[in-house]
Amino acid sequence: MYKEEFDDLEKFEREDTKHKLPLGWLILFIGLIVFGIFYTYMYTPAFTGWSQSKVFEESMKK
Amino acid sequence: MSAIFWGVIGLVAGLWISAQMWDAALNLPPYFSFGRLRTFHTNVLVYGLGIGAEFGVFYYLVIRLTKRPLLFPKLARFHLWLFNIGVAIAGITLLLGWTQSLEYAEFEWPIDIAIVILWVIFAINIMGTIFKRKEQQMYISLWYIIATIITVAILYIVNNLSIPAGLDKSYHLFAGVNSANVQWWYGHNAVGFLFTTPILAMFYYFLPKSTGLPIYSHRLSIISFWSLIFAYLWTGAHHLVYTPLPDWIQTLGIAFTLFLIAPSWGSVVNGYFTVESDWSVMKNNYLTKFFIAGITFYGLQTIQGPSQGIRVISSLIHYTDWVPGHVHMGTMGWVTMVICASVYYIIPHIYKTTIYSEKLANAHFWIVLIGQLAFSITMWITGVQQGAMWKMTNPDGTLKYTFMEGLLRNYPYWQMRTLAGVVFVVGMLLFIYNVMMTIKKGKAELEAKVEPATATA
Repeated sequence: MYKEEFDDLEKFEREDTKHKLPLGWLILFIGLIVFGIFYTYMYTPAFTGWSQSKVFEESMKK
Repeated sequence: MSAIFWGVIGLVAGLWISAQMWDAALNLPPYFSFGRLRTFHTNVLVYGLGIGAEFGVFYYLVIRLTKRPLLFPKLARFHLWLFNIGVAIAGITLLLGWTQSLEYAEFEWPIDIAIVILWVIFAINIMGTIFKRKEQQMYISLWYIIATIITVAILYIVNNLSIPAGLDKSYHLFAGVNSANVQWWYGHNAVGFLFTTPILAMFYYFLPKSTGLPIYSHRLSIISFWSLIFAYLWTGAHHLVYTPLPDWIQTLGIAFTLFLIAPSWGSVVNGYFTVESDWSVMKNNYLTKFFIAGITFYGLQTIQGPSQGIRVISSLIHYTDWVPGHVHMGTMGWVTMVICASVYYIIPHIYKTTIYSEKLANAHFWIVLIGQLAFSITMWITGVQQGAMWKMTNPDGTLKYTFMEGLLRNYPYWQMRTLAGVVFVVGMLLFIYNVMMTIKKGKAELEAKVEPATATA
């Protein structure tokens, strides 16, 4: 008869590096959060006055 | 108990086969108009192949990771039939021209209701099994499965809220810019929660299973998971850059989109580091290269995708053929790679046998890879060319090229793309043949085992 196979979770996760976060990745992660805040600030009309229609009008002047 | 289990197994196999049938149905004869066939193509592949495989694989994974059989095996079987009938009917309605005109949500309201019922059946079964699990700790794949089930339900219901006007027609509840915003909140996340989270659930399970190498870092998988889920739902507005959608919504969408590189690459890095402990599996285990190629394309996709969201890049490539290039790298390079490898893994396990031919599987891999690369690269080239031609102006400010001139330059690339598509399909036919032969072999072996037993009895 067929027997159900179940999985042992221990085989899925490496013990020695279980809690490690690679440094390069961590820099990317935090860097992108910081950049996201900066970007949102810079390109929100209410904060800096930047707006798409303004950019468009300027490009038409040239 | 084992009988029930066999029932589920049969179901899982049935699902895949039906999914592959749908995939082959991709090459439909050209006597249907493009407008209808295009929606047919996307919907049948997303809902038939993509979700079909996900239903099957999720049932398989949940049983193994919760250490218990499905809560309602008969319901799962019913689900299978309903699903197959549903995809068939839904496909026909699209060809009949029933459409809500919302991308990836074209099905009209009667089909939508059927899909919601189908999804609820699936959700009850999977979630119930997870609640009654016999293993305390939840492996990362289960988290991705749960996210898929909950998010897709919310997205689908909200975007399909509409007022029926007859059986085959309805009007979106939202109007104008709101409609567009809800549609792309849905559209983008449908990709995220049908093509990213479920495939990651498979990746995190089958990579360690087939290589025997444990996942590098549990913490990295969990952090990537939660930040992916958190950020994804905000990003839809990047599809509406330079539209009447308020600037701040676009900016917020772009910021979250760029952030998504981090959680996506969390999974990429985790995959690479897992295999880094023993690269010889690349050579010795034929499935490893499917997963590594898949995660590589996922990595490329998740850099290309967010950069497309940036305003300056969007203005060049949006509305051009670059976009199908991008989409097909994801679907052909990442989604299909991982689904195929998962099926290659599961089928021999269900039938207690070995794969019919590893050589064929290797051939499948390389053919599919070439087809996909040729497809994406030709589309990128022609997309950039197209965008640049549209934007070029003469010194007096008039357009340098007419639309037709740009269009004519596309033709050689479109022909190359068809060729690439044919190559890809040949690869997929090898896959289907290999799976069918494996099932046949498994059944024959089983019979051979049963016969002596009954003879002695």
